[in-house]
Parts: sequence; C-alpha cells; structure tokens
Amino acid sequence: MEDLKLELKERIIDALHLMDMVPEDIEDDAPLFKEGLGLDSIDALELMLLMEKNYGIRLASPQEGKQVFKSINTMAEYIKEHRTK
Amino acid sequence: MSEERQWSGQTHGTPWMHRALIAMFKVCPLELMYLIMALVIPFYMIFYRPGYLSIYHYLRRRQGWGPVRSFFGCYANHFLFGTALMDRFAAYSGRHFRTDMHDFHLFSGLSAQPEGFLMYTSHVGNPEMTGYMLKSEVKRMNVITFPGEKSSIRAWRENMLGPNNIRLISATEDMSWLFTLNAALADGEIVNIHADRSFGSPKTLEVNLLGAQAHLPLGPFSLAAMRNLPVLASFSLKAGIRRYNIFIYRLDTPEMAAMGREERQQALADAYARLLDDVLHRHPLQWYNFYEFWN
Repeated sequence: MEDLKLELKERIIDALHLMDMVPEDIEDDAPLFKEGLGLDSIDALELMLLMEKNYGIRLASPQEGKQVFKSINTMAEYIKEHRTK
Repeated sequence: MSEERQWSGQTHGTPWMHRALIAMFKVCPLELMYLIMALVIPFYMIFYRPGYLSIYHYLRRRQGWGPVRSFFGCYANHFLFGTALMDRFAAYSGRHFRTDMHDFHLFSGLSAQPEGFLMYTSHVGNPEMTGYMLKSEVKRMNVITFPGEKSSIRAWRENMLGPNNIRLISATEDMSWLFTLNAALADGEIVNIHADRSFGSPKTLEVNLLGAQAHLPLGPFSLAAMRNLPVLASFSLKAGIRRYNIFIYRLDTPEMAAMGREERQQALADAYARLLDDVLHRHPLQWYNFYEFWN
C-alpha cells in the first residue's frame, strides 16, 4: 500500500506539473482540493484521466468520485480495490 | 482572470417574469418587442455604466472606431444583445427562425466518428440558437452552463434542447459536474463549452486578440489537449429579424496532434483567438462580454 501511495504521488506530481514538489511534500491524509494541495477543476480532470490511463478505473459517479478524490489515502484504497491494470 | 473581471453567470428576473415574457412572445409581434426594447436601451446604458464603458472601450481601442461611432456602436451593440435575449424567449414560446448553416459537414463528420469531440462557443452572437438548430442525431451533446442560471430558464432550455439530443450540465461549485463531463467524453459524446469565460478554474492562457493581450480560460483548451480530442468552434450570428447564420469551423490541425500537451493547448487557444479576431472584424457589434475583457 505504501508503494502504491508513493507511485500515486509521483504520478500526480508529473501529471499536474507540480515541479517544485516531491512525494514527501504530499501528506497521505491531506485534502487534495482547496485547502490541501489546492487543486482545481482542471486538476480534477487530470486526476480522472490518470486513474483511467494508469489503473483502468473510470470514475463516472459524482458521489463516488468526490469521496475517492478526498486524499491520497482514499485514492490509493480505491485503486487497490478497483484497478484493472 | 480576476474575479471582478468575470461575469457572475446570473440570469435576472423571477420565474413568473420569465413566464410572462414567454406568454407575451406568443401574442406580440417580435418587431413590437424590439421597438419597446429600443426605447429602454438608453436608460440601460446610463444606469449600467460598467457594461456600456466596456463596450465603448472595445469599439474605441480594439476596433479602432472614433468616439461618436463608438457611442452609437454601443447603442447598436446593446440593441443586438437585447434581440439575442428576446429571440431566446421567442424560441421558448415556439417562434421559428430561419437559419443558414455553414459547413455543417464538419459537425456531421465528427459525429460519425466513435470518439467524442469538443465544441467551443463564446459570447459572440447567440450561441443558444446553434443548439436549437443543430440536432445531434448520432451523439449526445453536453452543454456546460453557468450555475447562476434560474431554474425556470433552465427548465425552458431543457424543454427546447432535449429533443435535439442535448443535455445541460451545470458547472456547480462542487466537482460533481466534472465527473459527468469526463464520462461524456469517455463515452464518445460531444461537449459544448464557452471558450471565452472562466469557471471552475482561474487558470488562463494568454493570446493576442484584436491587437492586444487577452486571457482565455485554460479549461476548454486543456481538456482538448488532455484527451487529444478534435475541436470545432461555432458562431451563431444574427443576420436579420428572424434570421441567423451559423458558422462551424474546425480548430485543431494535424500539426497540433503531433505537439506536446502544453504546446497543443496554447496552439488551440491561439487558433481560437485568430478565429474570434476574424469573426469580430466581420461582426464587431455582436460581442457580448460586458466587462473589461482586455487588461
């Protein structure tokens, strides 16, 4: 699980061009949007694409999606259970 | 794009006012409604100074018109904007407009492909009329709308656009609409989005528009570059009392497909700015961004 979280952080940094950040800067339970990493709607679409391309997960339900994108912890747990790649 | 430079996306009036307006359009000739509006516009220009001034500055600085021509141009712009709003209500009441569609094959060609595509509109002309005339037989079209729209207006729009296989997606404060949008594109549907105003993200791309630096929202261009999607742009321009010309353009090029993501989104924004430039030179009075668009 820790390996998956690290991989996820690296992929997020790469996809969102957070060049001044390293994986250690992202806390596992910190909110990804607004007060946490401060991501916005364009970043959310990037994360959806990241989930689709790298883990074969398509998030279509808004309710479920909002829960998944709460933090690195919630994303990693969801990927672990639902990944097809 | 700073908040004070953005339009709030609110529609004005109460549901009963909208219903009354639609009822009026069922019985009153459109010409009579235009005439009444023509008398009201000077008051609107006096009491809504920011809107008036932004158009005056646009005509003076960006179109290079003289002061007197710009002043009367402001009146004509406000009048045309009023007719665009009235035509929407007239359409809700069942009135029909003559529409000449140019290059529809670009739309039908992409619709026949399995992948989805984006369609950019802007606050030039009356983009809503495109939705009434452009029936999407093969793919569903998803139109991203501002969240400030009144429910009564939204209900009328859904009523009008639904039979044309068009779904409205409201860009709400939370992220829910993004999942719907993402699923639509993944399913190969069409997403129609304004490419001249920000919502959801303050990030912008810098372009040259009418000889000066302007900012277009990053979202629509990033979305296209992210998924490497084809992009169309459409303009619905008023050509007479009951007449519109709808122009469709293909924005992406084979060269863009070979570019990296960031380069491609900038190339798309530049191409869109060039297209806006051309349309605004030909139809300078149908520019309806009533705030200081240029810094």
